[in-house]
Amino acid sequence: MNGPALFFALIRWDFLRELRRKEIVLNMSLFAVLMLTIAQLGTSGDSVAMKNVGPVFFWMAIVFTGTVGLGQSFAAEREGGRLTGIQLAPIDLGVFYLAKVAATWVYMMLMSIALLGVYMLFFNFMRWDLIPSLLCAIGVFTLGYSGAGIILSSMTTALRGGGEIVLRILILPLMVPVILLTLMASEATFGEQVAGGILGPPLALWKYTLTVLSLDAIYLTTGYLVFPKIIEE
Amino acid sequence: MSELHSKHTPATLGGSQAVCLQKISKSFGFRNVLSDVSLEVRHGTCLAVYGHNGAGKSTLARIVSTQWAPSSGSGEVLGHSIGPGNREIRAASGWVGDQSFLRTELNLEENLLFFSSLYGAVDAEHSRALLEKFGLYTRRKDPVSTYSQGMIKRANLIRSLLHHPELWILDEPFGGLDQEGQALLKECIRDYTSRGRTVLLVTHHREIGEELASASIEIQNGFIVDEVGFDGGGAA
Repeated sequence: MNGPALFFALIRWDFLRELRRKEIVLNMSLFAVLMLTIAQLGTSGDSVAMKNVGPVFFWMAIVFTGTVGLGQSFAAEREGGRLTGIQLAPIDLGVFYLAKVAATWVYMMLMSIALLGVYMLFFNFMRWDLIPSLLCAIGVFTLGYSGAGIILSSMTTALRGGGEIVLRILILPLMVPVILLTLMASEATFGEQVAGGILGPPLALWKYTLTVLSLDAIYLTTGYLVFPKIIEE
Repeated sequence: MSELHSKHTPATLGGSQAVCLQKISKSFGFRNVLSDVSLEVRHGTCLAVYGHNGAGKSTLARIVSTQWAPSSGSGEVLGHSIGPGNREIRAASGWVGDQSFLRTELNLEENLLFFSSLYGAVDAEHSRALLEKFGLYTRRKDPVSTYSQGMIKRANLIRSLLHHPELWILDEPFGGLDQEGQALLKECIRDYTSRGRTVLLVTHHREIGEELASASIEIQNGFIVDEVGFDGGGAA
């Protein structure tokens, strides 16, 4: 089977598994909505406070729930030796990595869209004109997050207890550049409250997208090359 | 190294051998699991590998199947150098171990389609024939999570044969199978070798090995300590 055909076949099987188990998207979404609910309750309806903490909680929810999704997405491959089954097939394991990233990215986007809807409702954010740019920012952010996260998950899920704690510790430093860029771009959408202006002037969306896409490309290329070696070891 | 073992060191690699290993060792940290194992298995034969739990027989099977790389030594399987990542060996060999690799949320038919597509060997007729042979055709639409241990073992055997492997590596395949399943598997192994294909049978049931294999080795503490049925450096 050639690379693209294998890529789409693997994604299809991943989606089928998620449709049957209803595990990753549901878990991530519930966790994220819970975080936003706490933030909303914490502001007690104070519109200024909501404007200040809302965007921060929004991004925190995406980052933290992302680790939940990443851990679950890869842990599922360890069940019953499934990963060994993949390893023993005569396929390019780099393609398996890319398919896993793509499937996880879709799950994270679905969660983010649900989260955005809840955010708009809870924090009275009715700027429909900004939704496409926000989705674009979320899309490029979660792509890099999935790319780096799957590599780390492949290394940590074999650890005792599933390695989710180790994953969370490792992924955040790795994602710092992307998180900072996302906050700068987010200021352009939400206003200066996102990072209090301390990161510099808001970053235009196109500049943000190009810069983060470059980082995404580095994560994905590294992952494609390194993943087979991790699995084979 | 035992006398038997050193006598059996093959002079050359490849040729008519399906499996040819030279001085293979495997260690985990400071612990040697396999030490200087050399053996040859000719095409169309069944080699039984005996040994107690932890003797190193499954490690040997995993090295042959390319799951693990040897710490030292060299070898060829079906004419290709052993080692992780060798897709030629993977494409031409089938593995049955203690884990089924099956996706429990899918039904068996979907699982078989998934693995067939990974091997580029989607063949509905062949899948159906295997399902019927192993008695799972009527249960093919049921989720694998509802299967008993014996049924999972049968499903595992079907999965391993989907792509018509040249080399069938069986690591304790009889565990969990009922009398009928065991008889079926024995018949399959005989049928397999009669068609010129090779079987590596790892078992601690010596009586089953003696019934099916044309040659055998026994491993103890990582060393080959006994060989039966070898003639002039290869399995008969």
